[in-house]
Amino acid sequence: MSQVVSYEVDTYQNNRWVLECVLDDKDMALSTAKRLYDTKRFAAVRIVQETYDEDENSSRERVIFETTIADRENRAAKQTQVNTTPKVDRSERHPLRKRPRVEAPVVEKKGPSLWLLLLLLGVIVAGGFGLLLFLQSL
Amino acid sequence: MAEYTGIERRLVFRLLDYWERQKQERSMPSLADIKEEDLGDDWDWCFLISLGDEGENPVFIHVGSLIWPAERGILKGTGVLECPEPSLIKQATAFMPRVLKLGVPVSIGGECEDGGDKLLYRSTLMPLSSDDVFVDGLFGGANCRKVANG
Repeated sequence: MSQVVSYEVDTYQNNRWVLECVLDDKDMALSTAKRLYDTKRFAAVRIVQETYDEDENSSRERVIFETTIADRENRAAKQTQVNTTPKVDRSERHPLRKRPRVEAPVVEKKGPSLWLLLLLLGVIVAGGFGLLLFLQSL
Repeated sequence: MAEYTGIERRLVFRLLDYWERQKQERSMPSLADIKEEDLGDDWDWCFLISLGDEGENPVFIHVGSLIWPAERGILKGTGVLECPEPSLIKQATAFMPRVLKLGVPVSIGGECEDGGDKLLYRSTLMPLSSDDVFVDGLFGGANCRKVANG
């Protein structure tokens, strides 16, 4: 299948699209379109990719790039908005304050104290030792 | 499609810019608007074609020495259809019917042979009119670089 691709650069003038030039190189077409648009003489500029099928003798067209005055104005407005966003005056900033230290909550101990447990352990050991001596004496 | 470096594209852009400037408020400039002194070194990569009244016998009225070296013979005054093949000038004028049909500049690139060398070329062909109605001339330009062997 043999296809020939070309790029038509159109400008919008007097409510219609006007063909300006035809190129076979996409980058060149983009550069040409942007340069035409930058002249600010046209309401819009677009690139139409035309793919010609030599075998079928038919062609397909699709717009691959289009930019209008509205796009430019939107971009300009967006740029203005970015530039006019109020900056924080450093002098108005408050110095950072230290976060107040939060005391760890006092956990109320529950259950027997350590001393009581040690005493219990001592009683068990002594009891075991006494039982051992008793068994030995039998 | 071959890839082109800036140098091949820049000539075409310069010529397109020049054509655009020369046309002013018209749809295209005239043959008289294309001046050697405006184009400087680019003039040697350019050619001009007069289509005459009927446009049936296009004739070269200028062919730059870098497109067609003088030692190969003089193309000025000869018919475009008679230019030798294969050559860069033949390739650069091959899409003449398309320019006449559309009435706008056309730029084409690709590979061709010229003087035994294989070239990568980029060319442009732009319509000219003395009355801004009928195309009676063509302004073209092409440059190239040799394709490295192997």
